[in-house]
Amino acid sequence: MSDADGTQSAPPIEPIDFESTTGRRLPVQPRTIVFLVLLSILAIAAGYEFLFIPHLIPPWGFDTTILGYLFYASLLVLVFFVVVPLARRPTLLGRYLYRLRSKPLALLSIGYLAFFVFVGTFGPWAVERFNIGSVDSPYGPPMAQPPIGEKIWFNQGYGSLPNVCLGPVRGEYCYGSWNFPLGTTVWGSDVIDLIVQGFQVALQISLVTAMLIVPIATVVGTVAAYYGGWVDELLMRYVDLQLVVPAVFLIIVIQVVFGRELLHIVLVFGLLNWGGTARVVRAEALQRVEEGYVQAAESAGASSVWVLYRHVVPNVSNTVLTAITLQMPMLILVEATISFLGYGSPTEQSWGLTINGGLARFPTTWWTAIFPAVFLFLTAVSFHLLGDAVREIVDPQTEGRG
Amino acid sequence: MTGANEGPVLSIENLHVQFDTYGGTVRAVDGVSFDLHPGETVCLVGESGAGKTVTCETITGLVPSPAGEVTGGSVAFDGVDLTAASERQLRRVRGDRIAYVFQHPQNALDPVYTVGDQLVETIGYHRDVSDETARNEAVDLLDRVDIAKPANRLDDYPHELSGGMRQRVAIAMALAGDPDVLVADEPTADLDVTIEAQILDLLRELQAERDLAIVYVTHDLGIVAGIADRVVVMYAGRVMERAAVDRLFDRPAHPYTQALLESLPGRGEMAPISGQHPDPTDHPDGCRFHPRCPHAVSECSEGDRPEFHEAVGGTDVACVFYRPDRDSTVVAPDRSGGDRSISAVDAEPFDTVASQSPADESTFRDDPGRGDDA
Repeated sequence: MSDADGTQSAPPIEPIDFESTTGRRLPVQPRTIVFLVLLSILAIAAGYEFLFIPHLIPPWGFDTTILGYLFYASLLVLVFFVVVPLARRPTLLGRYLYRLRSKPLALLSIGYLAFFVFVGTFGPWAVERFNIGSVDSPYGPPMAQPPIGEKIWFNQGYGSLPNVCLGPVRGEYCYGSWNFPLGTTVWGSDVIDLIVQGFQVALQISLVTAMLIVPIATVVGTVAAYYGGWVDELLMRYVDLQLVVPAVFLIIVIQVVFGRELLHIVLVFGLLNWGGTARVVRAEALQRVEEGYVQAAESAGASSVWVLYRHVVPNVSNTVLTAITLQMPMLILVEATISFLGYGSPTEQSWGLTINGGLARFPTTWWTAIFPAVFLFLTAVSFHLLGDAVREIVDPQTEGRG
Repeated sequence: MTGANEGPVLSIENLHVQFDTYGGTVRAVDGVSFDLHPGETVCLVGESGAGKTVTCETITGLVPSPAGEVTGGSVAFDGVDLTAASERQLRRVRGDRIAYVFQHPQNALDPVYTVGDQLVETIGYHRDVSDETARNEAVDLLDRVDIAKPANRLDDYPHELSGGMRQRVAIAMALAGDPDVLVADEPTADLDVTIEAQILDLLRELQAERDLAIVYVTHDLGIVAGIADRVVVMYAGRVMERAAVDRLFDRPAHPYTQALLESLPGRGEMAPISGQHPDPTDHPDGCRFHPRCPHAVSECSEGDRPEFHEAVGGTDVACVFYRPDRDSTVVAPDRSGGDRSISAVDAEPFDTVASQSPADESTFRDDPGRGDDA
């Protein structure tokens, strides 16, 4: 390349070789390979379960729903594209935490959301494994048991509610027992169990929908901004069209026509509710495509797809992350609303469904409605606080080494 | 700077570029022609909106389409008309044969990647080399653009570098493909004068080393005096005058060039050019400078444009007064000698800052952590 003594003679002008190979391909990272292998294993398992042995238990002993497989895939995405990159750059993580130090609410919400992900992933398994909320009774858990510290009127008469009391009975009142610290419903379900199932539903909804929205919104937003012209026009008019049809209305129609399933809610949201995020991404990308490094890459011979992938997308990542985090509470609340109204899946114990059930005898058995509502509220608020914190602390424009 | 001893490496002929905007069609470049020979520097000079940048971007088809469109003329590079080349073919030329350095060093580098990553990426655009080789080349390139301890700089992020260092890295990236032509679009506009002098020195060295042909865009006549071999004076999308640099400062032929030099501090009366730059969607007929020209006659506003005529010293000038049957001394009285020689401009401000640069350069090398505009 460069001779230090500066005596290199002028290279003769060579003819342009239009046909030569276009540069080298950057090596694929091992992380990407591991991710793709794990994803293929999931895809093969899902394909085997749904195409070759439908309605049978696969050899590995448990069957999984389509939503379950999508959830595992989204967990993989979360681990490989959020957790691993952060873990590989500890100084960056340290800086984020440092910036968070003056935001105790944001720290609390991150702590709660870590708990949320953990319980949503392992909770249902743990409830079964450790026999939480079980009782030695041929009739199963008794109905309408109060939580610890609460009492319920109990006359031991036939057909009264509750008809059995597991805790101490003092006077005419049944007190809560440690078998069911948060009580049971009027149908005899453990409230802890229901809440944990609600965690799972909320986590599946938020992660799977995010996994669908993020790539679609990022691609549509950056492509529209980068290519402009009729591409931009076409994509943005489609987004307008999509925003005209409210997803909630569409979900209710689909639930009524095709049967009530959680998967429908997730798919409608994930595939038809990315318009707002795509618009935000486009607005940000419009600024990024004017940056010098985009111009520099183009003028150095990079292809447009490469410029998009390598230079535009990473620089809008904070916008995508903020937009999707701020969309999560809306999603979880809408799903709870739909379930509350009775259009959700009847088999998946969403918090909305549990709250609805708890309203059957509301002031008397308040715990069946209030406890799930508290977790619903905490989850929505935490996502919101996290979204605000992400907007403030994550900025690739000023990111340093790590 | 060896000048022209063989055919031009790049030849722009009667280039027309227009943009469709909501306000109307903007003919940003309207019949621009100039040649560039190996090892020489051609400066494009003119006010903002003269079409300098668009001309440069058109060379390798970087003008954003569909808004911008080449409506005529040709860019002959190496016997190929680049205006007719496909996007795929243009990508082979960009970076590899014709490289660019742009104006704003603060965003010339992608903030999310290290300097090394970006250099390796650029090297990989045109050659299939191993990671190891590419990194070694990246170190060589950084060393060549006078960045101290280049190996340590590879893992730095752009925000850890000063503006001058970033522009050096941008130049290193432009050199990665070992180009024949370097297009520098006001690369020093955002830098302070001492750094500017260093960057210009660097460009001159690189040019001598590689027989690099440079197209340098600027509106700073001090830089023109310091770096140019030949100058193309542009106004409202057209070439007003093409001259060798000493001729331009010695005997500016076109009234616009004269007015430009008059407005220069330290030379002339610092008289601003009266009037306004014309509306880009509605240029005047004839010579585009005639509404502001002190010598304008009725003939200046007739026809599409004045022809090019040869003035003293081989200068091409688009002005009716240089027609053989006219008396050109009306616009350019013979004022050779006196205070209007190139040295008057050369001494100020350019040479003053250039003479400071060696000392500055050495402190920068001794103390790499300081950055070069500290």
